[in-house]
Amino acid sequence: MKQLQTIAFKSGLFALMLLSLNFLYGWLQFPAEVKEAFPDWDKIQQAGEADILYLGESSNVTYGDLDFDKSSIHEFLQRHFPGLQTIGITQAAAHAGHYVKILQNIPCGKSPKSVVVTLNLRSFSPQWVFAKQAPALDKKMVLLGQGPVLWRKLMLTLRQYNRNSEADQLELTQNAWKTEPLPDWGAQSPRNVHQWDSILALKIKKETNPDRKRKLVLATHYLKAYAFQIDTLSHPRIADLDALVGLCNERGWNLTLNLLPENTQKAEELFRDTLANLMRSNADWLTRRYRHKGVDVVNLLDSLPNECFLDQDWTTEHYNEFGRRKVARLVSLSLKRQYPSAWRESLQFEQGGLSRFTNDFEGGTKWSQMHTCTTQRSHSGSMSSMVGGKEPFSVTWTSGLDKLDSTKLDSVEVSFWLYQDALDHAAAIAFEASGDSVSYMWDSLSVKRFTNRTSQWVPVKVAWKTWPEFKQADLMKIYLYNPSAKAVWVDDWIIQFK
Amino acid sequence: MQFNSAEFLLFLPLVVGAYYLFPTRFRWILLLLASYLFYMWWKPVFAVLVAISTVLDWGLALLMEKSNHPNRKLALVSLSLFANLGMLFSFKYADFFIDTINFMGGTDLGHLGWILPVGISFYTFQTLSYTLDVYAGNVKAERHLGHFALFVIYFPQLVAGPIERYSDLAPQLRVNQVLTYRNLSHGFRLVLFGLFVKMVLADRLAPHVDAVYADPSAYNGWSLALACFLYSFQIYGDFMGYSLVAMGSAKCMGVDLMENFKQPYLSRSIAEFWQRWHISLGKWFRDYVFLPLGGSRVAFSRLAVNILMVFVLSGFWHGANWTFLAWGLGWGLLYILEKAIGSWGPSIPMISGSRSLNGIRILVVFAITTLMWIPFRSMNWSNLKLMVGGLASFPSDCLNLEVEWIAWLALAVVLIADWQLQGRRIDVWMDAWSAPFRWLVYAALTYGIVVFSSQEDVAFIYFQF
Repeated sequence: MKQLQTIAFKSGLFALMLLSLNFLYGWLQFPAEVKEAFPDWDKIQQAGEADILYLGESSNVTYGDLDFDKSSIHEFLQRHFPGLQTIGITQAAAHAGHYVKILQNIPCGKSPKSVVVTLNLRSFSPQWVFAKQAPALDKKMVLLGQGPVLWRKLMLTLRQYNRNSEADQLELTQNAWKTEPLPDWGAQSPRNVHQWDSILALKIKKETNPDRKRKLVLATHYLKAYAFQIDTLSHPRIADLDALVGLCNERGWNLTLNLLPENTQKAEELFRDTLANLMRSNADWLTRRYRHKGVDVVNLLDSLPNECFLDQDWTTEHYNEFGRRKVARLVSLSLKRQYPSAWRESLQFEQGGLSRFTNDFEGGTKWSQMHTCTTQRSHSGSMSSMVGGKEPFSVTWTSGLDKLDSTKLDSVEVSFWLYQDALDHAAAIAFEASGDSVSYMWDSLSVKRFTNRTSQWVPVKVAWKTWPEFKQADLMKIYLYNPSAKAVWVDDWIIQFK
Repeated sequence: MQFNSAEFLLFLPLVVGAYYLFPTRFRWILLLLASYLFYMWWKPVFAVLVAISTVLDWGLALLMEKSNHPNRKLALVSLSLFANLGMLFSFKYADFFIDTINFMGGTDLGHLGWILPVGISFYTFQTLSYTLDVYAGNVKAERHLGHFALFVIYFPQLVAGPIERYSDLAPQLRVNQVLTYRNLSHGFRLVLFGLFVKMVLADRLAPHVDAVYADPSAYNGWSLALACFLYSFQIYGDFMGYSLVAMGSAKCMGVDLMENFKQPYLSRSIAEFWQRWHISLGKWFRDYVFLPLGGSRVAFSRLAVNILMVFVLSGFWHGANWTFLAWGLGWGLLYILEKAIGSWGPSIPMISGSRSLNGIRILVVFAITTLMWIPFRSMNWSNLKLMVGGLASFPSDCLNLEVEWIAWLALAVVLIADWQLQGRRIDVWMDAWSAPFRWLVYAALTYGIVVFSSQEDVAFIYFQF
């Protein structure tokens, strides 16, 4: 009996020691480690303050080179609700299981009013379920697991995550393609993805026309990404989504599932209506299932035309500016029911004919290189773009020439405010054009030609005559280039084509 | 199941708890099932091999004991040797010999390509020691198949030793072990320190050593030397860590396993090193190879042959590769050289000497050991040549291999512990500490294991043997 008493007492002492270590780890190391694994950790901690919390994968933030405004979907969504706070959390290749972990980490007692979660149809395909990068992502998410922080770290140390090798993942994918049945489309129709793929592989082998061959190859990608029937009983994503719905119900959050657009137009082009209808049937099934559970599902599957998809030779949910704006608007219309008075129509995408562009670098309009924006100094608002040292390129205006007013392409006037501590830098305003039918063109004008005043904000106006072959170019960029270590700051750009 | 896994963290307390709740006469059933579960966690099919080996040796030993004819006994023990070593050969050495035949004869024989069952070298030697002991009349044959099966597959020491003798382990598994705080706390200390050494020291060093051995030409001589130094502690931490967890797990159930390491890097001679490193294997070769060959009571030339044979076999036991043979041969020659100097040299102070002289001897033996790990760790001859060639040139540029501070700290902890142990076991040494200091050390080790362990998946080195 005495032995048992000693064991019980010492076990209690050990538990106390673990509690202390948990506190110590949570205070000393966890914050830095979790931020390293999941850079948006701070946003999770602030998510309780948000009116709208948007969770997405790469579809949220991926933009095209030709986009005027490179804002993410959640930033466009924010513009429909200017009086509300929208927080966007992005994790590439994430799926519902990861979103559950993210949401579980929102501090108790704080609640976002609405949670919008991206629902990617492709995330149900074996190719995504057993993706080769899935183990690495699972590992990153361990620190976001449940339980005390020391326990989460222990789970990471003991490698409690998917540790399959790439070969293992590929084997699982191929096995699923061989065993998961497709709908019965008739006696001659393939029974599974493997059979279908084999038929296409034979056609690719025989095909001599390069264009048709390329299309067949693309067809195999579509097939592998979208040809599946969701098994309600055993599909891990269904379990994840159910857990997500359960968590939102438990914590009283309004959940909206944003069923992302897929390129059904391309699917129809490649397979007539066979594959596209299967995609629609899966999307409809998901919509019905989760609407039945009281969730607001925005089914956007067919909402974007082919040209909105950035990747034309692969299957992704990466949209151009028009696509991202449209997704945001359609989601906002659904949220409008919750916030009728807060909703505003946002400035809509302009298809072309533009000649004037402005950016105050405050984040309202997103161009490339926005990460160079700093609060160190600014001419207006609170931010400017810092150029030099590790970041030789300023915030960059980029556009396809077809989006510009074709009658105003002879010259361009660039106005901006410049701040320089001294003149020992090599900053220059740079003009760049490229295209399939022209060779790469680049020109630069040193800013020191326009001002030598230092330690103050100085207006600079640069007029530049375009190249004769400029009108044949496809893409144009304007930015400040500073290869020297000494930084300069720019703010409040106005670009006017003439 | 690996000791440094979540499964084992759950498995061990459950088994230990159930062990003390079970009536003594049924405990063997619990441990047998638990041990098979432990082994089958990896690849269930290989448990069949253990079972075959168990039944075969159990039956052969019984027949040997009943038999009055020496020739019949010899035939039975030969059958045990043939069957056990045959299995070992098929899984471990067949492809190596096929390669050798192909190389020598210019043939193109295909590989068997069989996966090496974890721990086959360890349990094969353990069961062989039993049949050889029964043959020699040193132990009585076990009549209870279940008890014998448990001796073969007892989970704490199944896959990487220590290689136990039947006379040491089996009686401990049969007696009524009583739950005591002392056993649990000592077991806990051994497991805790073992996991720290394995997960914080060995696993933290592993990526650096692996990177250097994978491409020696990318590193300068200083870095290669550092990698060799680090490997000495990686393998020490890895194997000693495993052995400590094995001992600790068994200790929780009242069983004392043989000590496998006694501060080997503080040895003052090569002979002493081999009395302190992988002790259970050394004793096995001494009792079943060296002594039957005549031991040391023979002429020096014969002794040299016996020593060489033991070390070459030991090298070959570690792996089917010429580099292991070179490692064994090298150690054998060094051992003979030391014996020769000890025999013929007038007054070379091998036994006694001042503290500073002892320090020099320790450093010399450590340097030799570190160099001898190079063929052991090299993947093949060309890798070995690159390592040795790289080591021969020491450029003026500095190290291009960086090791995290936590690995150095863990190394310092192990060195200090080794220095202070003075022949004691770490769990016993901790008895001498004050309770607050002991709990502080528990906390530090636990924090180290959870927070500072390597995040890489590093298997125990000796699992491959």
